[in-house]
Amino acid sequence: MTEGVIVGGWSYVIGAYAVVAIGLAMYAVSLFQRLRSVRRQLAVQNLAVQKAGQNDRVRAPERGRTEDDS
Amino acid sequence: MKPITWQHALGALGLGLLVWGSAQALLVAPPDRHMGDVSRIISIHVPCAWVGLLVYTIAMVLAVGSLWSGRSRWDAALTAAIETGLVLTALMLLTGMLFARPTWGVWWTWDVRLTTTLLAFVLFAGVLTMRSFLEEPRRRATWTAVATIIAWVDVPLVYFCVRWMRSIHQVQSSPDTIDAAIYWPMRINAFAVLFLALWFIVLRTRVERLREEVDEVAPPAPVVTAA
Repeated sequence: MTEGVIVGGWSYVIGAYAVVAIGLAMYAVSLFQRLRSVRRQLAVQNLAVQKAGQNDRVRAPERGRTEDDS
Repeated sequence: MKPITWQHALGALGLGLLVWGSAQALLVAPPDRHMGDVSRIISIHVPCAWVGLLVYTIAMVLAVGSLWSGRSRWDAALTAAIETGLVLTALMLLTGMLFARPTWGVWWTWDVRLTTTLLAFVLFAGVLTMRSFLEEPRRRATWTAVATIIAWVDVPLVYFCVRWMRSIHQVQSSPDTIDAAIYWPMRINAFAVLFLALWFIVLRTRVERLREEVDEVAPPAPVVTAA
């Protein structure tokens, strides 16, 4: 008695669950990669700003002297 | 060892529920009287649809909040919600196609439910595309919020169109018309996808906020000394 009943179809079922599992996993991985990338970028920028600040402190007296001389 | 934050606990809970719900759907739930084993796809297709539409509605609320407050954190969360909604809509469409092929005999048909769902995907993808072209933060936030509210108009259409119009897609079922053995895996998966979606939104919002910081902390211009 299989009239009107869809027989089989397990390949579609497995395919659907695999698509969801792979899709969600790939999105989660992409988020962690983006998070790591942007954190690294921010750390590099902060370092650059800190270095620039130190350089400014070193240069400040020189600039002051130059302005007075002129 | 780093402590597990509440956000990651949300993700772990979602993952655990997804494994449990999917195992129930695949191994425990009986096959449907007419659709046979193919009906097991519903236990993952419907949760993606429910949570996808819910996340778009959250995006609409965030859009109103962004316009109202003008704060960048609303805009960051809005972007995160739209992106998460797009992922879930894509999964909904793909699992729907895998259900349509053995039950309807086609991968795709321009039925009203399918068309409005695809339209939602295209509209919200358009919002993110438009956003990427705008550089000034305040203007970008305003336009993203306005476009989101306009795009959200399609969401109630997606939900109610099967009741308002003739459609090959079935209307919403209720727990009264479904056996508990079939209904519970779907419900567990719905909570699983919801927790995972919230986790995604939190993580994506953090990415967006950090990007804003990167833009704000631009390195100073090099000192140019006169020759």
